[in-house]
Amino acid sequence: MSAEQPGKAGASETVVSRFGPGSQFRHPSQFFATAFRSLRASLPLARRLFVRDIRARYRLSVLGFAWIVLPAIAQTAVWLFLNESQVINSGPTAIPLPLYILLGTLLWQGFADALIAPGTQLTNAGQMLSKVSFPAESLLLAGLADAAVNTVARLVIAVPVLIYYGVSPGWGLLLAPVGLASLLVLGFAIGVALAPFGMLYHDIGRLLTVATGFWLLVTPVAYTVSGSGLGRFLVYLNPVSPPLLTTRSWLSGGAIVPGPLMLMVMAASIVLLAAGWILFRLSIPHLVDRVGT
Amino acid sequence: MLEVRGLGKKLTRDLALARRHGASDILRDLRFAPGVEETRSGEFWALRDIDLEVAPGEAVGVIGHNGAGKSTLLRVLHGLTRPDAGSVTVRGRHAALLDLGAPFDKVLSGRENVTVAAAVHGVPRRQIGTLAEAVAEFSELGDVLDAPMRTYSAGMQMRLGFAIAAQLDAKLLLVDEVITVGDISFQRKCMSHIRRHLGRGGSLVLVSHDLWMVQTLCPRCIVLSEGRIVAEGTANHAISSYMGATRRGQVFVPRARQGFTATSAGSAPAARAEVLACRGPDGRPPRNGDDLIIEIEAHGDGSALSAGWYVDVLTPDRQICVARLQPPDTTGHLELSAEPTAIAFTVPKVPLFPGTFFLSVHLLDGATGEEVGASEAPLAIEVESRADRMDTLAQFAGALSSVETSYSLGGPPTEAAVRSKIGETAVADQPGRPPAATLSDGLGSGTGSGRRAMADEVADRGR
Repeated sequence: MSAEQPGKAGASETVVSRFGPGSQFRHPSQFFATAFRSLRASLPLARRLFVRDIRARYRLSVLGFAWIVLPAIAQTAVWLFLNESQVINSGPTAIPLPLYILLGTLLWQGFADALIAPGTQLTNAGQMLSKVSFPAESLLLAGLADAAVNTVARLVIAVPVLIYYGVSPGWGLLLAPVGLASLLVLGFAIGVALAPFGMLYHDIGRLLTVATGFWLLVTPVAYTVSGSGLGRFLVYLNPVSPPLLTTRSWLSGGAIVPGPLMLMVMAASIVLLAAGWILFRLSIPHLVDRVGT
Repeated sequence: MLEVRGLGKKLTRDLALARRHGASDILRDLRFAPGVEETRSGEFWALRDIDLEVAPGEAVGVIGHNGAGKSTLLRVLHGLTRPDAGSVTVRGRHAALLDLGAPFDKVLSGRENVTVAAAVHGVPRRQIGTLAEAVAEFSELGDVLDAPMRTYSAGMQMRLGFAIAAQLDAKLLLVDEVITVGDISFQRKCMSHIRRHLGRGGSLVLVSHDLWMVQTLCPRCIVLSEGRIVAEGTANHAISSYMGATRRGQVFVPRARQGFTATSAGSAPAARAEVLACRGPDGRPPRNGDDLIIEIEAHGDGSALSAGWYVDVLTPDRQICVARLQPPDTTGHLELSAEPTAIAFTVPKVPLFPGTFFLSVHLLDGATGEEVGASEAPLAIEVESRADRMDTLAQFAGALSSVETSYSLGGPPTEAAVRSKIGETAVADQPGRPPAATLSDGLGSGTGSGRRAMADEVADRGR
C-alpha cells in the first residue's frame, strides 16, 4: 500500500546536508550535484504541471483555445490595415505582405510568451515554493512547454494562409523547428535570468511588459529592414531579429543558410540559459525566505 | 536520522527590507562570500543555537508560543530554506506537512491534485496510480475527491494532504500544526498511522499547540521561545515548563477591590496584617497535596481589638479568589495590640494545582464582623509541579484546585443511591464510613481521594 514499495525515487540513504552560512558556491560539488539531480527530477514534474495548468485554465474559460490565436490574428489585421491606408509602409517583401506580417507576428508571440513565462510561473507558484520541497525548475520548464505548445498551435493557423498564397517552405521546413526553438530559448533564457530579481522586485516584471511593447517595434515583425540610420542600427542590435528573420525565411521558402548573426544568437542563448539556471538555483532558498508566505 | 548543530536562521519582517536583503543575499552567493554573523537592519534571529538529534523511530515534539520559530525550524529541516548558522543533516527521505493548501490547484479536483502532488514529491510515474488509490482510501473522502478543491473545507484539505504524505515512503515526517484541523476520527487515524510509522523505524518532528497530542505521540519534547530552545526533556517536563512560563507571563496588575471598605471608621485602618511566608513541609516550595504552612503577622493600632482573620488565595490577576483559608471559628479569637502578633497555621493537603498565586490576609472586627484591615502587599507564592501526568493535565486544563472525593466501587446504582445523588437522602452504606456516592455491590467500598489515596489503593491491592 504505501511504505513497503521498493525502489521509489530518492529512496532512503540519501544523505542531505545543509550548511550555512555562506555562498552555496563554496561547496560547488554539492551544489552542482543537487542542481543536476533536481533538473532530472524536474522533467516529469514539468509535464504534470503543464498538463495541470492547461486543465485548470481551460476549465475556467469558454473560448479557451481561441485565445491563443486571436491576439496574433488581430495584430496582423491592424498592421495590414495600417499598410493599406498608407499610414506606414512595410517595404517590399519577398512573400505577400499579409503572410509576411502573420508569420512575423506568430513568431514574435512565441518569443514574448517564452519571455514572460518564467516570471509568471514563479509568481503564481510562490505559495508552493515556500511550503513544499520540489525541483523548482519544473515550474520554469512547464512555462516553456506552455509557450512552445502555444507557438506551434499558432503556426498551424498559418498553414491555410501559406496554401492560399501558394507559398511552400521547401527544405526550410526541416530547419523551422530549430528556428522556433532558438526564438523560444532566447526568450526563455532572458526570462529565467530576470526571474529571481523579478520575484523580489515586481517592477522588473512590469518593466518587462512595457519593454516588450517597445521591443516589438524594433523587431522586423511587420516591416522589412532597409535604409540606414538609427532605426536600422537598433534592429541589428536586437537579438530577436536574426532568429525571427531566419525562421520566417525557412517557413516561407526563403534562404536556407543561416547568417552569422543567427548562429551567434543561438550560441549566446544557450550560454545565457545555463547562467540563468545557475542563478535561479542559487536564488531559490533566498526567495523562499523573502517572498513566500 | 536528523542532526542539527548550532542552527541559526535570520528573518526580516519588513517587506521592503526583506526584498533588499534577498537581493543582496543572491549577489553575495555569486561572490563566493561567507555568511554574515551580524543582523542587518530589520533582521532578527528567528532561530539561534538550535541543537537537535532525532534517531530512527523517535518522535520529538516542538512547542512554544506563537512566533517562537517552530514553523521556521521545520522549514529549515525540510530544506525549503538554508541555515544562516550551523548545519542540518538529514539521512533518508523526508516528507513535510507544512501547509494545507500548498501544492494544490484549487480549480482541479482532489484526485487530479493527488497525481500532481505525487509528482511534486518525486513519485515515479508508474507508481502514481497505486498511490492515488491508496490516498483515496486513506482519506475517506469518497466522491468528494472529484469535486474541485476550491470547495473543500480545511479539514478535507488536511485529510487529503495527510493521506498523500502518509503514502509517501518518507523516513522523516515533519508535521506543522495541521493535524489539529481534522475531525476526531481522522485525528485518531493520523495518530495511529504515525505510531505505525514510528514502529517501522521512521521519525517524527511534530509542531503543535495541541499539548495533548504532543504528549501522546512524542516522548521527547523541546520548547522554543524567541528562537531558542528553553526547555528540553520528557513531554511532561517540557509542557510543564511551557505552561509555567505562560502563566508567569501574566501581568500582575494590582486592582482595587470594588466596594471594599478597608476600615470600619473610614480613615486609617484599625489593624494591619501581612502574609510573611508560605512554604510546604521541610521548607520546600509547596506542591499539590502537601501541607501548606503560612505565617501571618498582624497588629492593631493600640486600642484593644478582637479580630477574626482569613487568608484569600488569588489568581495572579487578582480577579479570582480561588479559595479562602479560614480557621474553623472566625469570631474574634485574635487579640490584637500595638505589638505585632505572629500566627502560623497549616492548610492540610493543599488542593492548589501548580501555578502562581497571591495570598492576602484580611482582618475582621470580632464583634461586628466588618473588615478592619487587609494586606497591602499580597505575597506571591509558587506551587510547584511534580512534572507528572496529573499536574500536567491540570495545568493544561487551567485547573486551579483539586477537591478530595470519596468513592466506592460496585455495580449499577440502586434506586436509593440514585435518589441520594439527586440530593434527597444521604445513603450511608456501612456504619462508620463516610457516605458513598453511588455504587455499591458488596465488593467493598473504599475511601479514596486524590493522589495519595490512589497510591494506597494500588498498594493495598498489590498486597
